[in-house]
Amino acid sequence: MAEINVRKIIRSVLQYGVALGIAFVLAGVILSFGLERFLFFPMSYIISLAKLNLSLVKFTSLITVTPDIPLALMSIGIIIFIFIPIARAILTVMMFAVEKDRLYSVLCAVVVAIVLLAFFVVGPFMHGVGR
Amino acid sequence: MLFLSFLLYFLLMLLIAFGAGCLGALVGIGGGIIISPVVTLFGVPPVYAIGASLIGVIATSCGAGIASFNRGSPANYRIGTLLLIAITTGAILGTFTTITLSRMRIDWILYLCFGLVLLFCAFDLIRGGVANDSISTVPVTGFAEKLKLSSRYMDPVQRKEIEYHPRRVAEGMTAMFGAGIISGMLGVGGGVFNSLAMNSVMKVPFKVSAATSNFMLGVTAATSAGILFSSGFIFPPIIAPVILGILPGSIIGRRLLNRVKTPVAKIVLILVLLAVGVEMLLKGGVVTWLR
Repeated sequence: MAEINVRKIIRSVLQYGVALGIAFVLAGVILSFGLERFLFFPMSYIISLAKLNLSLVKFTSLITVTPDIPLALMSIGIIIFIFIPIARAILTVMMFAVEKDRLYSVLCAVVVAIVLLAFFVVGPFMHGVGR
Repeated sequence: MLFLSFLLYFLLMLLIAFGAGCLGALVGIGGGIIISPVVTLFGVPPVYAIGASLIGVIATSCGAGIASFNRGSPANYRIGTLLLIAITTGAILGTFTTITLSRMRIDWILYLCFGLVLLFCAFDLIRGGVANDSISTVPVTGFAEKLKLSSRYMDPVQRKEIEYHPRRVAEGMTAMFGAGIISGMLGVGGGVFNSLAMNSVMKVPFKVSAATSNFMLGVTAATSAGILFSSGFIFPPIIAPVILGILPGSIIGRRLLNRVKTPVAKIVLILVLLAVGVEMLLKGGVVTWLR
């Protein structure tokens, strides 16, 4: 029974996560078009903006580095999308734990650790190396 | 192409992502595979383009995940977890490679890889892909037995429970490590490779490997996307139209699944894969040739 409950939670996380992520991205797009940002910029300028490599890992830098609300909204949407599978993996650890499957709880926790390592360690490291 | 206005890019990518999502769902491969090569055709450097397809892969895998939970999924989370250890490690290495190649300004290697992978997928589809479902029903011993990977699933065609015993776990994990590198390098979910490794190496039934692959795709894409995001290679305006297009596309694709003849969708996808693949090979090859 408990296993089914965790599956239900995973399903809701997927559903609400996707809805929330889409909402943020859409809000950012509508706002940027409303403010006539990006809209008529040539693609080459957009690419040169991208090449600034603004890392938005720290939520504070979301506001200080990009005082640009549409960009921040879209970024939050994208962060949500990145964290949906991570949440799913964490819930899968719980699913194994509920099933008293110790081996796979540990293995799945290793997977979660690798993914978090990628986001919080490898990424910021790569960001620093190129500067 | 570089002089396009962003509006045009946005609208075109919205349409292309919609089509990719729709075709992908109809044919049964993620559709993310076309996204990053097409984004590079707009002049976006590959390392920024792969972020777009990775987020697209996450979006479609979530959509498919919701649908599979509604039906009662035959996913085997033990196999998924075990293989994820190999594939996420590979994905980190792959993304690391792409960022390094891009910083060394040797993007042509990436274009060549794009071309080769696209052509591989096209030929895999032509060959029939997963048509020959091979299942291992003989109980396994040793390492594979200790890992408790055996399970059973309900086969809707034969209307009975089928027991399966995955084998060759070490080979499967090695294959997945390689799939992870490709996935991380090119920003494709690697669904095609997932199925290949699970189905032809480990002899996991196709229904199970497809459902398990969905769980793995999202986590793999999140690993690479995480690195790209926190190292600054994700620029939201480039990605926004992909997210907004691919998700509705994949939902409608799944709805159409029973109404549209799959061979038609398959032929269209094969043609697109071939065309974009050749374009990528030219793009990679021409630059090398000029040097």
